[in-house]
Amino acid sequence: MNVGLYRSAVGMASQQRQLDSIAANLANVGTTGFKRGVTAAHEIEVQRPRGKVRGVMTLAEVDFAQGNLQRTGREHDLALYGDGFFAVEGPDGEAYTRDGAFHLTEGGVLVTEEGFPVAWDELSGAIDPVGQPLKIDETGAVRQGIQDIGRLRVVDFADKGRLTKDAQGLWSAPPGLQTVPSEAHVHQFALEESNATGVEEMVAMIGVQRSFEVVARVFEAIDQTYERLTQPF
Amino acid sequence: MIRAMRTAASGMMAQQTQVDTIANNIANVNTASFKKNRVNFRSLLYATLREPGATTVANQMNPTGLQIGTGTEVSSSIKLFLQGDLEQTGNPLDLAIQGDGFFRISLGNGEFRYMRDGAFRMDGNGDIVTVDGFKLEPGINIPPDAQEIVVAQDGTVQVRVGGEDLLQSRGQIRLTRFANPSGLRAEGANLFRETASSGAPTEQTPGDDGAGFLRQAFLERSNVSVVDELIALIQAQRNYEVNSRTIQVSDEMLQQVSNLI
Repeated sequence: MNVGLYRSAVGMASQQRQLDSIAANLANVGTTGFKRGVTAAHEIEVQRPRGKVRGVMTLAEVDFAQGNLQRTGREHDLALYGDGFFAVEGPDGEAYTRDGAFHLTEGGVLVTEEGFPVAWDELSGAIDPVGQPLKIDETGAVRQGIQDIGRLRVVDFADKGRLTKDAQGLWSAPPGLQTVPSEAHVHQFALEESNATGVEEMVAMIGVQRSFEVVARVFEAIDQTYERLTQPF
Repeated sequence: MIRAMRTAASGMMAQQTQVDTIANNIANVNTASFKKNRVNFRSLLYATLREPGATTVANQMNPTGLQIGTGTEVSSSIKLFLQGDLEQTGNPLDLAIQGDGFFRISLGNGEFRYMRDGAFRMDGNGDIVTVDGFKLEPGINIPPDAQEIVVAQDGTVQVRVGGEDLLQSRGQIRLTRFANPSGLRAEGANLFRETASSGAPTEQTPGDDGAGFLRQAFLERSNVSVVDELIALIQAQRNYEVNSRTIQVSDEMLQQVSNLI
């Protein structure tokens, strides 16, 4: 069979995945701290016994670009400006998030929306759950009244591409991935919006749709050639 | 393609919840002491099609892998306990809380509820009650011949009886605070109920250690800003629209496939 027929089918499959990714970005335009996925099709060459075969591979990366900060006025809403993550104590060890909509529990523990405790560097005091409001500065240092509570653990990674999203929507690091100090500023009373925007994703979606159309035409053309070949004279 | 459709559907459902919440906020723009709601979204499970670091067909280490999200869901809805504007009413039994805290209300059956709406009245016995007739707790009784009621910022209630010069103390209104007010359960009629996640109620004197002050003859307005809500409404509508476009595009692409044969 004609190799072009298969290759166009692979092309269509790749565009389908790109559309899946765009759909996920669009669905999450309202998700706090969401980072959009970017997919790209790459041409690859594969060595086979009877020579090289060319194909298409879809790669997905996460665009860790900064999202807009939105002021909420809520005491336990924190946003990061710059590269970095809030470290939290996830179900399988330390996990990371950019979603800083935290809550204070009855026991004075700062937790995420899902109830995972926020991780600290230099925890020196306990939060009084019904005491004075918390004051959190740009370095993540937390004070309550005149009492120093500690510093929130904010970390970054040299190679963020290796982070994966787990079932809780948190980022987790594979073993051996080193954390580096984060340069990010912590902003209290604000949340980071999703960095996926409707306009950008719509443009990408139109691109994918048109490419799909073109590949489908190629598929059709090849198919028609076969049809002519198989028809009796 | 089917995945893209479902993903977009999850986005549309999330936006629908957002619109429902905004509608409730706008409907309560004139409700005394109303606290606006906010829904939080989180991304759904990721489908890992290729692990980062896996070996590719070309025998090269794959630097990023292929994880594709499957949409969004509503993770929680919380009340934003931000201060509402105080409005002067002139009614001596209108009390506004400036700062943190709730009035404790007795339902009469041994249960308590909490509210910030301080539009109090007097019942036939002279007890201070809410608009719905529930008693303030700890209760304050105003004698029938009281001519003037003075509520201090720390909650002390004093009355002038008959032609006396001196004010007579009738007790002190206390405020209740919670570690996590967003964890309270809203029960309608401006009442909140304690839950496991709100933490246990702590009674405090108004103005003490982080508790708010009382302001007599003022009411706290709703903290909903119509402009903010309208902006959020427009955003939600547009987000709904782009998600519905995804479904349309997926459908068109599927149609194209089915036309091939």
